[in-house]
Amino acid sequence: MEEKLDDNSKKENKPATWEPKIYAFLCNWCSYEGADLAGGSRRLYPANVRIIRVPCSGRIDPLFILKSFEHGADGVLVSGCHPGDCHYTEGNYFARRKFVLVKKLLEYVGIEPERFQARWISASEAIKFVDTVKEMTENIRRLGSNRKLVKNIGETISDRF
Amino acid sequence: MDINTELQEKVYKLFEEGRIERFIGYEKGSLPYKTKPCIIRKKEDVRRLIFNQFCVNNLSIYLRGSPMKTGILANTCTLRSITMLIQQKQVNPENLFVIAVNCAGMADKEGNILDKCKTCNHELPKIYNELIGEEITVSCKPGDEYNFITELEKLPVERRWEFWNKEFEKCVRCYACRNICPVCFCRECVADKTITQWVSKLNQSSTNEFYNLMRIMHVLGRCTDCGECERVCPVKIPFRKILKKMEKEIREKYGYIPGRDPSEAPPLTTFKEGDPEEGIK
Ligand code: SF4
Ligand code: SF4
Ligand code: SF4
Repeated sequence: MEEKLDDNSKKENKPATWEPKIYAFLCNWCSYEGADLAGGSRRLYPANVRIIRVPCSGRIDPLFILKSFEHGADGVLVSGCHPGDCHYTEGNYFARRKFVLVKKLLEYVGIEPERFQARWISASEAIKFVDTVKEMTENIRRLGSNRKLVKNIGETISDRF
Repeated sequence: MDINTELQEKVYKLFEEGRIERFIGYEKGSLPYKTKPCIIRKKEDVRRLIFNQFCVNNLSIYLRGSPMKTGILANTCTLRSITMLIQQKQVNPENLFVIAVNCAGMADKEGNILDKCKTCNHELPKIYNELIGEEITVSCKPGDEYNFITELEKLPVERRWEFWNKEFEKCVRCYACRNICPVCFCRECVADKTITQWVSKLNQSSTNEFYNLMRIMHVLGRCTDCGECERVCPVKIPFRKILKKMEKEIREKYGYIPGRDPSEAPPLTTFKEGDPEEGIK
């Protein structure tokens, strides 16, 4: 997440240079392997995705999602094993409830639904991973850069008055 | 018998029988339409106790972490919070003596019934030891309690953002909403952490949103809609509009209503194999 705060594209939406930035939290045992397989089998996918490996989809705290937006992500993808396939038996069942509710909450406060996506991607589903990233990138490109929840270093509310 | 006398006699008896070491209730406030929480430790003091339609504080927060044998006066909101605290293992029910009171709704200083009471259709959870006050029936029809959020739900996404952004921008980060909330009982709140600083101290609308959304996520499935956060917020952020929406989602998806039964598991600590997967592909 190096380029998080000094990214000028956040301040001005320059269509020529701006590229969507997607943070992807992938479960070590399935989705991360799926992304690896996509690379291993030389399938092209947009370079807009930044992958963060987590030990289980159950490890994904909703705060990670908020923090990603705060750091300038234009979209967040969370992904784990299909229900029933969890390496730790039931981590993704707990994660499922969290994802469903967080998605509802984000939509309710006005974050476009396309910006937060949850997927089940197994270690063999390289194509699904590629398609997901392509689809998200396209959708977010259409929406433009995210200005909601983005922290702006050096500005406080009182500066505006 | 008037309700204050009934209450005072009951508490006096409890002290005499040695069943409690302290009693949490309400006493007169500084103005006629105000009351304040009080803790009675001697039986001579029971005549300070009152109950009326201005007893709006949720008393359950004074229960946490005390090993004393405690009596408490509980209206529906307080009792539902106590249920939640027992469920979350913050309160030992063995040390507790609950005097529940039939609550017909609280009022503001003009005598208008509060918004949260207008949308209340909760029955008293059956965990009390004694019940005082006249029997009342719940006023709000089941299903009607969510009417006040449908307007906001129907707005387009951008307008919802405008609405919430304007609200959260006002936050002054006094953390009163967290301090008053019965289910915000963490020893160290994420908002106070400075090593791994999750919540920035910058006073900016985005960091305010971060704090508020974090708190809302933390009380998902545990908030009993006591409305205390909204009441104490100095800038009047309408928290119930968001908490009630999430309560509705949880009720629809997982059939869970918080504050009903202390032996139920909160929805985010359990799962069913056939849970809905809306939005996950
Ligand atoms: S209404 Fe507010 S204070 Fe009451 S339990 Fe819910 S979050 Fe906490
Ligand atoms: S906001 Fe979260 S971390 Fe802070 S006290 Fe409440 S539940 Fe605990
Ligand atoms: S009580 Fe209101 S102003 Fe204070 S921290 Fe909570 S939301 Fe912000």
